[in-house]
Amino acid sequence: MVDAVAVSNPPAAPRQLSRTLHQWGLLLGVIGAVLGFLLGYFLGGLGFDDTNSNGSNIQILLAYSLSAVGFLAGMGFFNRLIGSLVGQRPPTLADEAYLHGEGAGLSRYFRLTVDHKVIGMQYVVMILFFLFAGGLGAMLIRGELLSPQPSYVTAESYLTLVGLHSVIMIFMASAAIIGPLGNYFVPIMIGARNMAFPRLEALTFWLLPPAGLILLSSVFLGGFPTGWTGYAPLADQAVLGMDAYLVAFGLIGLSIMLSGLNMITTVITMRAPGLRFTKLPMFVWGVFITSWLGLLAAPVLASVILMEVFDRTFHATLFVPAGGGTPYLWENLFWFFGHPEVYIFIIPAFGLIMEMLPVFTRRPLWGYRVAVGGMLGVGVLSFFVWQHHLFVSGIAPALRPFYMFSTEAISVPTGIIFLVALGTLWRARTRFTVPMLFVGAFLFNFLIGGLTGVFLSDVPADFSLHASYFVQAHFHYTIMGGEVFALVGGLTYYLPKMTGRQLNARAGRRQFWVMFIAFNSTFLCLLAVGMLGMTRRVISYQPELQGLNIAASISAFVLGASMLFWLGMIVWSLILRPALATQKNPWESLGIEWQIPTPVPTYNFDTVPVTWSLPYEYDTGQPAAIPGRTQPALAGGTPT
Amino acid sequence: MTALPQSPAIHEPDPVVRSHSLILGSRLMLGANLTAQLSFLFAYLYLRANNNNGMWHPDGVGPPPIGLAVTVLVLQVAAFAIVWAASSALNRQPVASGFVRMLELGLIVGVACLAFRLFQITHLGWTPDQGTYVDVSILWFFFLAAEVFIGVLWLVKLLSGQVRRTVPVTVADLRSAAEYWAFVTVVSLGVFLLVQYVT
Amino acid sequence: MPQRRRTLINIIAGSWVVLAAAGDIALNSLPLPPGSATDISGSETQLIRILAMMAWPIFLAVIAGLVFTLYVNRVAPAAGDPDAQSLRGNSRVQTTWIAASTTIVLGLAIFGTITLANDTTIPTVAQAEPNTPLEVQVIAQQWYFTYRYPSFGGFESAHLVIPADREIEFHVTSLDVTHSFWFFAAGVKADAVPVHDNAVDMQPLNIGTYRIECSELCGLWHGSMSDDKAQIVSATDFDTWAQQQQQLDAPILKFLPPYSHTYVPAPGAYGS
Repeated sequence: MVDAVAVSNPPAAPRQLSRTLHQWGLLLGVIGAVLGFLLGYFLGGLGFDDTNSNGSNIQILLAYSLSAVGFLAGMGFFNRLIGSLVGQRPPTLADEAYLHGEGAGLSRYFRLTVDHKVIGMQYVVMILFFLFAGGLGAMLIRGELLSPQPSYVTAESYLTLVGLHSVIMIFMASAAIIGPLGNYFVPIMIGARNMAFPRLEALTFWLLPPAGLILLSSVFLGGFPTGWTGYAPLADQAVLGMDAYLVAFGLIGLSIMLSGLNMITTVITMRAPGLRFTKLPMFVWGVFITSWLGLLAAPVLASVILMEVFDRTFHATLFVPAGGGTPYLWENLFWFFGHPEVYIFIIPAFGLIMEMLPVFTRRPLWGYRVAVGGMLGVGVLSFFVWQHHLFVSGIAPALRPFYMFSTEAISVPTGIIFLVALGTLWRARTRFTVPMLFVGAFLFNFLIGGLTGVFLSDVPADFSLHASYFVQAHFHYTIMGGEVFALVGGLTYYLPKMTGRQLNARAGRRQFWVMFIAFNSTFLCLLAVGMLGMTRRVISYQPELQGLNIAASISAFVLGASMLFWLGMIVWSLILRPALATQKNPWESLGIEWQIPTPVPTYNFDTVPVTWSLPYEYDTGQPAAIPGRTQPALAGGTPT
Repeated sequence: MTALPQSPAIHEPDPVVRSHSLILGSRLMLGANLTAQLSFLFAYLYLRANNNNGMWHPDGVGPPPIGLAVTVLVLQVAAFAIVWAASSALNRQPVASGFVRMLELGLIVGVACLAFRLFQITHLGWTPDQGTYVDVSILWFFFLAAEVFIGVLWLVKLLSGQVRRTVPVTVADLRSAAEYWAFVTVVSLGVFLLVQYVT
Repeated sequence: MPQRRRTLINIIAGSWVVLAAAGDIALNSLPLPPGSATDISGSETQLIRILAMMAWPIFLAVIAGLVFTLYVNRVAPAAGDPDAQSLRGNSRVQTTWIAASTTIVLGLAIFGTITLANDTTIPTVAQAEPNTPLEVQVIAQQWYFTYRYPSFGGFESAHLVIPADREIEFHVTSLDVTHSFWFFAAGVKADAVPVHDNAVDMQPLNIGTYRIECSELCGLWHGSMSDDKAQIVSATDFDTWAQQQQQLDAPILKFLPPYSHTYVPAPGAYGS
């Protein structure tokens, strides 16, 4: 773990009640959650008219919602509000330093801490936990699909398994890169000492553990039968596990929205003087554009979830045709959120890939402006394609050509990303380090993901491929093959900065090849079974497709093992690898994040640099900025 | 250990940057809020156009009582106007001393608006199983009540800091709050017109 | 060096030509799914074939480009050199690339729209008498499909049987949640939505026995909501079968709800 910057005289002992409480953050949070749950359960049992409402739903919903509120209250998120009501003095700078976790060792990871680097590390742990929890679900699903008839999983548990795997992975993927790397590095890359709203940032993280636990607890309530798409009216008739899905997804949506708000504000208002938008690193651009998508799309999810809650709890009929509602309402609103959501996964990965490319090719990024334009184009277009999920739904056939065109049009800005990558590699002195291998794999996998997407965007072809394993393999190519490969590469690249330990390169190379080959052999098989007519989310399938399914399952097990090995490598590096020297820049990167000491001091910069250039000037060797100096850096100086 | 001083000076955030962030952040929140409102608007118009099974607006379901609806709207507009006036007063040089009074008044009117809104929701004379017009309207009213509640909470926080002399209200604080109230008021007006007259 | 470089370029370009051509020839002759049992599945197969024949060379070209830049065009590290060349972009290359991809996309969209317009799934107004399509209603519910034949008194069948020589007009609806009627070999996929009539037109071509499944997650037994006994039969076989069924079903026909494009499900269908 990161050692705190040693502070000779830690801030004075806490005098305020809130500070004492902060120390017990996580414990109080858990107590608050339990109390909230009991209170909600009790309140939900009171005084609701039975003819108009559904008692047990209300109890579960209130219990979950209040347990989340109780958890946040216990963690101390309302201390300042309550403090101002009871007339406490405003927080002093020492209080702020305490909140930043200064001088507190490991304990700062287990309480409300507003240091963006601590939050980034918290995200790393949580993302890995849910990545592997979702991965376990994937292994169980692939194990079941070894046989064309139900074997060791009942049909009911299979649906729960599919639902949990999908929502956990969606939940993980929507924060996988922005959460750990965005929170950790965006303020550093823009020369800021912290985020614009540090407490809000902490909130975006601490909303997620309750969301994840509520989601997992749906197992005890009968699970939910709808997958991550939650289609009504199936959701209307589902058991109580559905309420867990609704509350958890609501919390996730809130977290995505608030994270977007915080990131946008940070990038706009907190940039160092002299750092213009035209000098922003690609990764910051990726996070910035993604944040807009999250900010504007997630509220739609919140309102549609509210509608479903209303349907299930108070016998409303918004999605029930006999009562005047329509399933298309859910499908439209859900996908209006859902499609930008999938670009929330991938745009930070674009940014991360293009951030790493120049480092390993020792070249300036080829076409910075078109690359930014490409990401912007993907972001804007993502709001205009949602109906391609409804091509076979039977509504608005007249609109199909438009959505076919807008969907295919996304391949133009995506193509630009490939052009920039190829251009940057052109006549480069490429260093085939482990992160670079993952960059290459990202391009390969995402190319397949993109090309299969063209098949699906074409309406007549979609009539055959829609809702089949072809779709499943397509989005796994983009999310797993794209985002998760970028995440693994990105963590390999950035862990030396975050933990001060480097992963073993030889083991990493072997792990990469196993992961890359196993991934492709899994999902190429699944592309094939999809074309041959296997439906998604089924427990039994055509016996003649068993061969391909077995091949996919075995590859998937190898893939899972390679991921576990990677996790082992991280743990190994933390326990057994020596810490890097403070100033070590193992990839010889020119990015500002590598010019400051490791571990990064609490407030990042002693003096904020004012002279900035793009961090890709490998031809001149000029770093993005030189911290601790307010004078322009001399050109030609190489970083050490 | 580090090239920097071991205990870096604690950096106080620049107040100018802070107020920029606050104003920008609260406007972004209004943007997010707007897409949530638009999805309700979409639901309203879409279900109205669909009218599945003739259940958009079954017989015997009419718009909510106009008197109550107008009362809520008037209170909403009044609360917004007072908060806005307080914000202008604080922004003026020299600061008009009455702005705390105005805020207190705005808070009271806001609470009254919230109370009437909740009363309205429980006295619409409908139940949620009476078609989708009823469903969207109740849900939307409920959402607006939550928005007003957040606005009230915001005023309470600003006022308590000011009155207890712990955190004085800044121009940026009050301006964001006033913009928020303006937004909620405009939405309330739109919902009023829609639910009362575009049935 | 230049000699070796030229050789490598030739090898890569040559492999691209050979592999692209071989792949496209294979794709052109392989029997791709979903096959040609009906007119629409035939045109879907054709479209998938064309898309695959376009995608394969593009895929190979990008991979060849990657191999070329990463391997052939690599600059060997040399001590003391400045890090690398300072290419920062080339607006001509960028413009060409964007223009080319836009053209491909536009072409694809236009092509798809034309295909869509040609075998439109929205039934047209009934044509002259002998060509009137046979109306078959598909009623989905948890967890099976029922087929209703309005032109034969509205009898119901648990398995789909359709004649090969007539245009068929499916009317897909549901009695509870959203399902999706997937007649894979026919290239028909249409969501079954309660109180909604989703109509699809098609012309069967090949007699045979096919599989039908539900392709929208619809609850517990979604995975088992399939039927391997859907049949396309000859016209005479169909008439015999339909008349037989109509007689068999006559006693219960009066208990069925009158034929309609949509049925309002009982409120109980949604539980809670």
